[in-house]
Amino acid sequence: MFVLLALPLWTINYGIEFGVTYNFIFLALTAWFIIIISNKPQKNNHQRYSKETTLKRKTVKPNNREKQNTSTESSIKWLRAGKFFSLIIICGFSSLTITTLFFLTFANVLANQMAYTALAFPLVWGVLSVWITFTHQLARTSILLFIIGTAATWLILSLY
Amino acid sequence: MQVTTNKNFFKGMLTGHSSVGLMVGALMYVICLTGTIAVFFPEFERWQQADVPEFQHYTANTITTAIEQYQLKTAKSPESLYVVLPTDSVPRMHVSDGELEWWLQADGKLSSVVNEGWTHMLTELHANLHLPKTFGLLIVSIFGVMLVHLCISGVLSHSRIFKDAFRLRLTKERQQQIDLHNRLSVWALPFHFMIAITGAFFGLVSLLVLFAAPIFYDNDRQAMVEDVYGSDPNVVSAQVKPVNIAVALNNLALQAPKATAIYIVIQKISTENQFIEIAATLPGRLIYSEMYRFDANGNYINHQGLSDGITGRQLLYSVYRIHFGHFGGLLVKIAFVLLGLSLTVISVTGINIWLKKREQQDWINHAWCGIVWGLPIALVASACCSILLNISAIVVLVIIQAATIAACLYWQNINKGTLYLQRICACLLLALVIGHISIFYSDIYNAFYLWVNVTLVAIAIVMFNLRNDSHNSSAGICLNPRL
Repeated sequence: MFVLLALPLWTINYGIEFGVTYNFIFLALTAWFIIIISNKPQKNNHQRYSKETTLKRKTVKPNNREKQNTSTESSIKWLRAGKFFSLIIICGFSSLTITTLFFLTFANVLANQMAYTALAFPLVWGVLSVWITFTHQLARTSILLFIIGTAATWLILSLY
Repeated sequence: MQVTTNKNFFKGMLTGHSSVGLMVGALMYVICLTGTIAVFFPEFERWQQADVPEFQHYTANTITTAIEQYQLKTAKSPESLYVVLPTDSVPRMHVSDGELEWWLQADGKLSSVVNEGWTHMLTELHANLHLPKTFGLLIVSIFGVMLVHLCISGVLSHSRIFKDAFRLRLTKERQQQIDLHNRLSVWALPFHFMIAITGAFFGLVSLLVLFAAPIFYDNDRQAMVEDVYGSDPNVVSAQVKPVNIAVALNNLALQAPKATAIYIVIQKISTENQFIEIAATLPGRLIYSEMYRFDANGNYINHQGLSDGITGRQLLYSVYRIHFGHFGGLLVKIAFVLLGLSLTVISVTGINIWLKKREQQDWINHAWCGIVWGLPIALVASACCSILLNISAIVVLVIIQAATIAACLYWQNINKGTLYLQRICACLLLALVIGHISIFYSDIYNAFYLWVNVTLVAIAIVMFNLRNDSHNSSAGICLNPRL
């Protein structure tokens, strides 16, 4: 709480840009310091870790994937390939077009629109990729994102 | 019903988080570790060539002599000629046309050739993984996007984010890894977001240019760049003569008294269109610099508007300093190293959690041990070979990294592998320091080199005791991929 309250002081002393940055850095370092001092080492851990140092080699158990038949394995591979394609290509395309359209609508100077898009589109890409990895309906979500991206492109082209 | 829905949500997020984390795992570790070390790249550049003349004060004559000396040496008129001025952290001057580069003596005469060596290898590894430049930059930027994904999905998959905010359970090894992963990532989240977005920006901006230039700028990419960053002035002078640096520096002091010049560029030198640009930092600003323009006689023309132009331009020009922590001095750099190191530990513990979850041990565990502890060895060995023996740093890095992975696969014992690799790394660090002192023995009493060498020895001591720590304390240094 005190760290957060220090933000105005950082800002007064170093300006808003440095003040906010220093505050975030200080917040992380303070929190880690509190974690370290509030979780003191337990004495019996010494023995515990000493005992654990000799690693027992476990026998390799067949995991679930190995138990599955070849056709399921093949479909998993296709699913992974599809997810990768959607994550990189479709999310990349959609985020670029959606962000460009968004800032065309909300920022007035073209140079500003481009600058904001350049900084925001990795964030939008990240958000869309979270959606892609979360969804159980990969094909439907990917098609939807592609349609949204294409529609955004069409709108941009029709606006300019 | 509500509980089940929440549980499914967290589970789904965690699955996505794990799958992307595994996809980017090893390369993310490489990017994070090299980025952490690269915070100090100007210092390493200085340290690796310790015999270069150092000075803080320069005059306009120094710069004029440097320009004359460069022209005499090369007989070239490059598009842009840079004279980089001394700063507090790097009290040296050098002249460069982008290809050829020399350090300067205090009187402006050319000294030794700038040897990019190991530091260049390190920064290139971080920026583009030594792939073809634009492609590599794009790939690393996509890793930045994936880091954004990991930040978001990591927070959303954390069902007890507030309850466990200060919890670090050290009793069970897997729990220790999970707690360390979560505590480090949650509290440094703003930093990780900032690093991810600014890192992604460097390469992805080229995708935006490809997409937007045909639509908004008639496919003129240069016009787009100039619109965002500001354009060069049109200068036509009657006669071609040497540029007047002294008047330009005086006029800079009049125009921007608080500005500190960091480098000077002579654009289109020895042509009718030549002009001077002075890049200068401004107090309290995150922007890399403002560019003040002067004609060949030193008369003020304008400035680029990086400090007071459109907001977008100011934002974009602040990205570099905020990504590398090059603002606010040494303390900020140390904080950036700690925060960068936390990101490195997070990327390692993430994979460790997955390895532990598999409940089996195979070649992946051994290879991962080789990657994690092999990269520091490869970096130190490449520094040794590059600085002490003048051997290509990247070749050594690749060979040593491959060798450490092969050794771990051969040993088939993660405890042994970790212990050996940590100790080899410590020994190599000591060898590097001893080698550096023996080569640059005349400069060893310079406070800067002394501090760097003492720090390297301290890191070697920590490395040597790291494994013992994990035996004897409950902290268990979680970079340890022992499972």
